Amino acid sequence: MTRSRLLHLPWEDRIFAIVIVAVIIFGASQSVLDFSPFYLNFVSNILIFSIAALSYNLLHGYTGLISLGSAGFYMVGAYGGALAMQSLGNNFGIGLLGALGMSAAFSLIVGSVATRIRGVYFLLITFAFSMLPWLLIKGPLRDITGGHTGMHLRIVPSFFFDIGDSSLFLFFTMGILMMIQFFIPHPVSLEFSSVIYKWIIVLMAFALVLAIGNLIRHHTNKIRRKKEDWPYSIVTLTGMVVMAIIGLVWGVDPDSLYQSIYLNVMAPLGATMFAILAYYMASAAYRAFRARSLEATLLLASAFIVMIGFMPFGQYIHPKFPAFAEWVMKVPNMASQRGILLGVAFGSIATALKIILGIERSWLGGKE
Amino acid sequence: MKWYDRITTIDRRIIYILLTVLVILPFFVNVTIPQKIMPQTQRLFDFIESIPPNDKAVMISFDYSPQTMPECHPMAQALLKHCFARGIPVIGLSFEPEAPGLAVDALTRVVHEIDSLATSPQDSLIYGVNYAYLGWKSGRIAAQLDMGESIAGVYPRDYFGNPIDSLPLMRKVRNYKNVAIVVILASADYPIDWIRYPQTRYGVKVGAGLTAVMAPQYYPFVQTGQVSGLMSGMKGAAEYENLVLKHGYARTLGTAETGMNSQSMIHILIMVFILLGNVGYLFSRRRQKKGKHE
Repeated sequence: MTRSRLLHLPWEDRIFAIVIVAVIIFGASQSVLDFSPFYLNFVSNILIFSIAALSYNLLHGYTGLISLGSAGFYMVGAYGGALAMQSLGNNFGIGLLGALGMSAAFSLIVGSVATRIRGVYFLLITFAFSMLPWLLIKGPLRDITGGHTGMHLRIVPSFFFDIGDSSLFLFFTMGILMMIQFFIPHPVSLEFSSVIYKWIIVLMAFALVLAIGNLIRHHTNKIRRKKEDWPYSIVTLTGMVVMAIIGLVWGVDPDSLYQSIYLNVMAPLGATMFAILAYYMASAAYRAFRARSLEATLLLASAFIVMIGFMPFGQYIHPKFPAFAEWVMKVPNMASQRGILLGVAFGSIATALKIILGIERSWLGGKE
Repeated sequence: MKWYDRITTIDRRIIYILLTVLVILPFFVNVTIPQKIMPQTQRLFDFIESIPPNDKAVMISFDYSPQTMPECHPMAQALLKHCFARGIPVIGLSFEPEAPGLAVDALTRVVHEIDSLATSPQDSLIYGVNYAYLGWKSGRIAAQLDMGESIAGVYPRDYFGNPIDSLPLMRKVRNYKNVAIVVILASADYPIDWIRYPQTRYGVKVGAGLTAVMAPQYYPFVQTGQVSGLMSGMKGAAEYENLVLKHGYARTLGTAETGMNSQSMIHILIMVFILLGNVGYLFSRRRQKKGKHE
């Protein structure tokens, strides 16, 4: 199915997919094969001009706007990146943000004027705007931009991580690609994500296999060394093996032996274990739930209101109880839940970015 | 020993005996108290009610284990009765490894009940036509996202080993475009993944049936409309059972109604003991303060 979907893609999409895969392989293999700088520059230039060609296709092909302002944007982006790296830190990521920021600011100015006009006038105005940065760079801003000689960065800018580290590079590339595929439902992107999702499903299943292996090893060890409560380990291992054999040999149909054992042994045992909690909770609440402070008293009062309000006969104790309990859940509870949710969301975004950019590396196994 | 000291040191075995008696009692004394339906339960019921028969399917994610069976199992059965009575196809699946046995049990019980009342072959339910159970899958977020493109791609076979394309229902339901709502019945934080990923990307509607401990976390999502309806704990299950009965989709109430009575009795008992403990605590503290002043 996957193969046929890939073959049905338009030829340009297939080329696009092949190029992306080739670039990832090339980048990841750099640290191993150590290509000469000539090939690296060559591939970099191909990619830079590919981006330029794609942007021309978007502008001229899709929107039909013939513009002569592209060189101006290219210039503003390049100087924006260089200036950001010079003043804020010699880092490629900062340069990228600087280039994007300056180009966006410049496009705001150009767009406010140029989007109102069409045809030859649009051509002229975009040409004028492409000349404007050139004149500024060579003239009034010469001290900052270096005029004809341009800007020189003394050190080759570093990335957030060592770009030669193939595992970090692969992780960064995959992180960015997964972000792109989530928001752009292009056939290539969907095909890519579908393959990755299937890999994840298989990998997670292997994690489970690993867990079963660990469980077997732990309990076998316990039995061999006759540690405390070792007979229970025999029950665990026997239960696991017997259930697996019964399920695999006789199936898992509703009338099967597997289902019968599950419903009549495992389900009541699991429910009993959880029910024991109620006994401990009742006893612990009686002994420990005291109105020792204002906070504890508030907690106690709200717990009583919610418990009474949600009982079927709570409305008969007082007709306002259910509504008050609902209010407790919908206002104070919801406000605190929302605060926790936002905190978790911001924390997740920060951690995800740190991992993608190679700042957080504990997942590599203690490599800081 | 003063009376207030005595009420703070009741033997725990007395508490355990009282607890046991009060849990069992409602099963012998049949008391039905009218339920006040919470808005979020009503919203879920109304959503299912609005799905046209034999059109889009309802996907139920059975993600609870035997530990939380008393709360979630009645929800599953009430929901299944509602869907089947309205002629809505149901697709079941699980991301909780312990859940498949319970999912099969819930489906079997409801299907047997409906089939036993069927007056003609057309009224009975057929596996693969009216319902299907796909089983457990690892890597839940990846699976949930991939089902947006193709359910068959994630589940090439159902739980019982049948090829997915051999089920007429699954030939009709290819991805989320053919699913009216995904209802997650869970004892853990499973619905959040459905909201974050498939809903954001494919706009799939999400409903939930959660244990009373989990449900408060989802109130913000109910308010924003990201969760189209919510059954909260045993009360939510009992409310849904009452709604199903009231609309004539079932002839009897399920186990949640009785369970709710047991739960209420236990809540009262716990509240009484907490009150006793606090009264004793306040009096003994007062005495201690008096002693210090003297």
